[in-house]
Amino acid sequence: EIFKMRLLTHNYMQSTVKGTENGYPLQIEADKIEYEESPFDPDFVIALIPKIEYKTILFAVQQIAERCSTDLPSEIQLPDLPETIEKDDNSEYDKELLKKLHVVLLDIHVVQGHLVCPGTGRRFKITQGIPNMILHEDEI
Amino acid sequence: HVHLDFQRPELESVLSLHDIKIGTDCLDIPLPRHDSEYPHKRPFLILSFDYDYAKRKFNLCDEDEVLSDDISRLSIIDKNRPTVASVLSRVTLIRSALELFGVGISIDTCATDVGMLWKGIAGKEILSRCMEETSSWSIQIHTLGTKYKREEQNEMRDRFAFLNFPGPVKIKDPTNEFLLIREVELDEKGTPLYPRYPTKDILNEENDSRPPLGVYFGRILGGIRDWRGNNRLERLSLKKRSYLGPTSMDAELSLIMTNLGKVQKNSFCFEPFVGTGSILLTCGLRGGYCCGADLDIRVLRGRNENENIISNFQQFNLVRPDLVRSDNSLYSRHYLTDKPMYDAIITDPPYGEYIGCIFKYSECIMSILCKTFIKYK
Repeated sequence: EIFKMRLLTHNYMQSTVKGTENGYPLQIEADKIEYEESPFDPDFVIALIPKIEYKTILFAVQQIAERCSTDLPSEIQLPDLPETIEKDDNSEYDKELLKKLHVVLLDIHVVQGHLVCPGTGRRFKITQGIPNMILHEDEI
Repeated sequence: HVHLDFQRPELESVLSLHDIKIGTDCLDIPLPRHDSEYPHKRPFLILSFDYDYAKRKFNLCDEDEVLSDDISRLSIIDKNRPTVASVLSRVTLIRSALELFGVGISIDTCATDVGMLWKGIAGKEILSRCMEETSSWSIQIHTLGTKYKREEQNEMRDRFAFLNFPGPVKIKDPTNEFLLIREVELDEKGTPLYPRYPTKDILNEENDSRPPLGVYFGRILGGIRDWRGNNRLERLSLKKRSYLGPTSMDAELSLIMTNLGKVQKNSFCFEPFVGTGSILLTCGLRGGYCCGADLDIRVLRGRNENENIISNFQQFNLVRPDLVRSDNSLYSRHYLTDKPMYDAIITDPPYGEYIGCIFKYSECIMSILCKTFIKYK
């Protein structure tokens, strides 16, 4: 697939469909998942940590877990992540944790499926890796 | 002209990426005759650094060891003792940099100023670096379009013969290339306002007797670009990207914008009106992580599987950007707004008269040279 959507992108997307009180986080119906490795840069992952909603990452991982078990290549496993991200005694992040975050945020992609508004159930289609978030006139 | 307005901000942005602030870490020295009535923006800037600071900050000796003309130099910022040239190489609107030996309102006063160099500690060190017997040298003369005969040019050179460089003269690619600039008034198109030969071969005495705006003498720093600015970033030439659209922003403008946005390695970059992704690509080339969004799905998809934003990124071996179809004139409709997500948001908004505009900027830049001088105190 040419285009793909990362969980990092999902992390800050929301639905503001009329009638929804809470449009975040979007649920993920993953019909097709792909893994694409990218170079691991610990500094970048560390910079991302304050920017992301970690709970949403955990949620997103849960959402795609089943599809990952069928779609990911056998040598790649969806990493299991801790409940919270914390620094160790040296005030640093564990490198293995950073690697796991890297995989989850940047290397696992949703290619086909839907993002679903938790409030209204409105489904936003992900076609060939690009999510379509455009609202209709009556939804605004 | 559109771009010249960005010259100073772009320079300041790139300097700040190296923790250098004009006014604090260096001074902006007024040009000769800065109080004259000449109305146009002058193409030169003199920055003065305290010599000890400069020695600490920059690698003064290895001016030849500059970053190669390579894509990598778009993103590298070496805070640990870069060369002056490597810092400035990132600035799009700066043609070249001189290590300024002297400046004046005439050739005489400039030569006198250069002669004072020996008297200071900094000056002695600077000149000593040029005094290797094995170092070849030459003096180029830049008269901003005013015509001078060869004998006249040699006369100008002779005024600086007192420097007595021991090495051999070598015109092409010498070890040390010195530049003598005789600045005159230019019109908006960048041609001399008072040409010596307005009619071919007939000297206009009145114009000829006008004093210059300023005269500068110094040593060209770095090998990244020759001072005529011929070393363009060929690889970013529009022709070479696989996907172009009718509104693809010229590569040079996106270089300037990404400098203004201080895009560097790991900057989280967002383009809310990504279009064909020219600006986004430059963010990627500077080491940024890229996301783009657009209303128009056809533009996001590109022309075909080999001509789209993703293929442009792949062409340069960059990590793929994420793309979303959304209406970004109202960002909060689709995205959370309470987290400081982005380091840079750089875009060309698609509303207004720009569609159909023909950019003639390249002519403007070509005719108005800009250089930065670094003068050591």
